[in-house]
Amino acid sequence: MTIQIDFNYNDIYSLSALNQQELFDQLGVALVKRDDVTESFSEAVYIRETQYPTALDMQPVFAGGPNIAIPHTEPKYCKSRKVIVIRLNQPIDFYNMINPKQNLPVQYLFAILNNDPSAQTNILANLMDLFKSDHFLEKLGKAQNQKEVYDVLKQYANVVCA
Amino acid sequence: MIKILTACGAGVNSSHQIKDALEEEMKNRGFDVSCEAVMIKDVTEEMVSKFDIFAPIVKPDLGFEVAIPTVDCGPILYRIPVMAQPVYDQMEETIKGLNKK
Repeated sequence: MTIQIDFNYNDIYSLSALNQQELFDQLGVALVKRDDVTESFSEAVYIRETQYPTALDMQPVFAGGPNIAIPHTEPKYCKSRKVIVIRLNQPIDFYNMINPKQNLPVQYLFAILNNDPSAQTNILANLMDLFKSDHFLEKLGKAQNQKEVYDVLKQYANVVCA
Repeated sequence: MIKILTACGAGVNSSHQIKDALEEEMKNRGFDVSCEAVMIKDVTEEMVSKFDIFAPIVKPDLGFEVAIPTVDCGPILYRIPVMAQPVYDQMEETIKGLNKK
């Protein structure tokens, strides 16, 4: 079954950062250059993460696999609708979305950009269905770079190599 | 009719997913429920007072004491039945505890 999410090869990043602030700074610079977000995006998504953390403990789905965060912020900071995939060379601590006192080492981010406040998307539901797809987290955990992440995604979802 | 309020930070419609899941599951369990999804920043003490149960992703710090029963519904978002089951069971027990038709 193909999950209904469109991933673009150019929306996949492999980054190194020491902490969330450094990560979102890097991401902001890259996405502003592509005109996908506003200049305030980095700060907005960082603050948002401190207020409403988005890490998901994926160990119940696949023990030993990567944990995932789904950072996002308000539509006014976004200029497009897409999912940006970030593989971290070293995991960074994020707080758990459903248990905000728990720190989780996160290796992948699926950052949701949505510039349409009225859009009733099922993007989160579709991402969850992707994460729990057979062997998805196992394969994602083994991916080492942008190309390998892309190769995993295209087995499960719609991908565009642009 | 049991009135449930759910809330999220807004952005990816997680509260709408909780609303849809709760309404479907509680209906299957024989309860007449209506769930409203709002943004956490819009939740007020007066708004909460109009509902029977508060069902956020995780209990937020709203700056006031929530006077109605709260059931944390975050695990529903995983869309994995075994994770959602305890939440639904707790919701059912909470509804029964209201002694309301």
